[in-house]
Amino acid sequence: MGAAVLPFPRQRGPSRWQMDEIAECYRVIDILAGVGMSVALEADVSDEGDPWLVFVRDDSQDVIIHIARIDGQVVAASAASASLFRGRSMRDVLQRIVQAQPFVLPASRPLCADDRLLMHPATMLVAVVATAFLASQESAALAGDGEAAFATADRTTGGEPVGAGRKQPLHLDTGSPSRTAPASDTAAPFMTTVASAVLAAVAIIAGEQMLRTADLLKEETLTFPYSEMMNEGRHPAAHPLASAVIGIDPDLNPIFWQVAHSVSGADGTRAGAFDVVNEQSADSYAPAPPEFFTFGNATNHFLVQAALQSSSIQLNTHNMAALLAPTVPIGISVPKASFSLDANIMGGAEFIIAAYSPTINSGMGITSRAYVSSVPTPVSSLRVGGSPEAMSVQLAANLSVSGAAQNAIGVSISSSSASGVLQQEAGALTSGTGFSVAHAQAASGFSQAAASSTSATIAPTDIAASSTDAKLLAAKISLSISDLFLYSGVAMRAMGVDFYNVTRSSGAMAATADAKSLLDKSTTNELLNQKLLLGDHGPVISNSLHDTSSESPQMSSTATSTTGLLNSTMTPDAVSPTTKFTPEGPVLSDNLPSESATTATKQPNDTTIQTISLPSSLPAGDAAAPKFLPAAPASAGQEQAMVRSAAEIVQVVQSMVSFAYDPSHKIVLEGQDLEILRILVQANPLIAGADRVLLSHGQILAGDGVMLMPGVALLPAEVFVPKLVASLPTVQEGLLEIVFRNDLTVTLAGVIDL
Amino acid sequence: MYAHPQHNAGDSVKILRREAGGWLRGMRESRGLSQRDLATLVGVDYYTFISQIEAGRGRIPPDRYEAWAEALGMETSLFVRKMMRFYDPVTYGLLFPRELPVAANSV
Repeated sequence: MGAAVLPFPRQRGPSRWQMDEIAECYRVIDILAGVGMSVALEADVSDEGDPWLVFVRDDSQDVIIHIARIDGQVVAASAASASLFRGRSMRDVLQRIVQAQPFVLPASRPLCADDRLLMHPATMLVAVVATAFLASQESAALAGDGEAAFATADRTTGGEPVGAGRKQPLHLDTGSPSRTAPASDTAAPFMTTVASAVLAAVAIIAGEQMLRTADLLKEETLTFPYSEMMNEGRHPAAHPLASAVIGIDPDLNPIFWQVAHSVSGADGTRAGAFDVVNEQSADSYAPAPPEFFTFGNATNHFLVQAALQSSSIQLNTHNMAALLAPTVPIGISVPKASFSLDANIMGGAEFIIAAYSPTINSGMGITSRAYVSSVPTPVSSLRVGGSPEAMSVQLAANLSVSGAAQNAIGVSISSSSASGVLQQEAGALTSGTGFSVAHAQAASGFSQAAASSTSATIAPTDIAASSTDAKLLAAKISLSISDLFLYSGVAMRAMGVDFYNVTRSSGAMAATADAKSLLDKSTTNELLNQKLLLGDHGPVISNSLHDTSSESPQMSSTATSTTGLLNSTMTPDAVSPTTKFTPEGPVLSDNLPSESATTATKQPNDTTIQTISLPSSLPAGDAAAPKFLPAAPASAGQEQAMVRSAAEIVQVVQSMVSFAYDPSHKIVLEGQDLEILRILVQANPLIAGADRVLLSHGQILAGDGVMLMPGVALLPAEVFVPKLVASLPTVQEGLLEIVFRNDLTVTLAGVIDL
Repeated sequence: MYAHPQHNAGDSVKILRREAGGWLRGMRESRGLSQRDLATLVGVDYYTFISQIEAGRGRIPPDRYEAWAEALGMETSLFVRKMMRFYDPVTYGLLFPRELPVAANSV
């Protein structure tokens, strides 16, 4: 089945300035007036309807800033720069201007221009206008004509210098050798004045943020073309941490990542949007997560979103998917359930209504869920939220009437400041029949939020290692809270990955694929957790094991249940130091002819090195071929044809390990047999780029927010298993890793305790 | 100390520039040019600058007079003289005392 990636149309911005944009400009004028800069604002549209606005000095009527939206792009020219700046949004352009004027915000400072969260757009606008104001004044004095200092008509794009005859703008970046520093007697007051204006803006805006959230950031994050976001690497989902919302979403799904795309109409209406959301429930945080769509500890559902937005209100419609998940007899998809059922068919519907008003900076939502399930699930929830940029209070209530009841209520408080994003959550309580768990979280900065959380689903060191992640995290929160949501929809899902999201469109399909691809490239512990879970397709594997039992008698005892995986064939006593595979099963080396490909040597440390050979490759369809082995590839070019099902991969891995593994031995797989396995793993359709096999046995391995279900997981190179191993206290008793690295070497990362 | 010719001139500057913009708009339209067309001819990357000038906001930089004159099909000296009448009425009045500044006609 091919997947078509549909290009999203490039958005064309509104034909008029939005009210919040104009409001920001007037606020800037007020701020500048307070520091002695008298500036007026004029706005109009061109003969084609493209809006423009200019900041004009009151004293000379000189235009010092020209900003326009032309063909959906925002362009800006400043008296303080010889370049024309272009961007997707007002904020984007302002940021470019600020970056071109580092004397306003030196790049070496913590609050650099690259920091998209800590620098409010209006603050940047103040800095830009103040700089232009003073530059035009200074240039007028130097050149004898203030107007000449801002030759608006003679500019080029991309930061290129202006043409001949153009006076160079005033540069006061004494820290940059490439710029012309002004005389010291003029630079100091210049910079002081700009700094005063910026500081005044920061103070005023910070105060106003307590009351409102009109923010140019919203425009960028909400209406950014998806393709551009991917190219720019700015998408909230470019990193899974970007959308971690610990403490923000009280709906017992504290971690999720989201891919969002939206298209804006010419009049500002959001004509459509696509969201792909992955939610992952933290084990310790949510004692009773909606397990009906969980694998191990992961929750995946996908939303198709259509949105309609006016200037002040926004409604999104989501189709919620992934609510039906029949479990296999071994019950692997309900890991925390102690029971085993032959079938656990679940169905459900979810209805969420949420509204948010940017004017009053508050919103509320109601979530209703109803499921037919053999496990307790929440059936309704209520959440009321505010803005993360201001002090906000969120309440959540989850009520359940079936099975074990769940009642939850939580309060979270978040705030932001110029020095860092603060998040606090306190009193998020979940209680109900049969369990009672209290959760409290308080943190200063996102890099520490997880560390102090009782759930501790993200290793603090991982987050702290990348400050960008923390920024993106906050950006995502801003987006999610600013949205108005109207969720509705019913969907079905069976066997997890097989039939989820049946109602989504092709656009959402493409977004889903991209999201997974991004996930593959991440290296954080959060990703590690998620990838492990994605790699552990428990039901698929379990089913295949079950099916295998009828085909391979020698494996039947291992296929009766997940927890019984490998148990009967992997006892140390049953494994010989030298083993050979045959179509009929393993044969001890003592019984094999001398030309057996299996050899064993003794290492100085008494570790036996086993060389294991799979049966010789047999032509496909050969009656003598073992059913649990795939046909060997004739050449590397036929790897694609070797794509096999997860069941085959599992069979091969299991047959190797179960027959050849000995905890006291070091395993070395060689030759074509290993090549077969490698091809199967790396060309498998489930996990792109997988180059290792992780096999666990026995109990569930859990630690540091990671849960590894018994079974075989295919993992990509990005997953750093030793990191997981270090976090798993019981690893020495149940984990085996086969890594296809360094030309087919195999590494043993753990032992399997039988 | 140098003083901008229109510095602190107040409303008269606005009126002059608005009239300059109106005159330029008329010249452009008489040539059948759109604002985008004119921007291309005078070498402006963002054509909304034409709209800005025609709305009486800001002024044409002197080093672009020649390009504007050519685009509007005028002799450069005549165009500069016209612009001076709007943008620098003081100098214009000294050079051409018999011609009243535009603002005087307008007010």
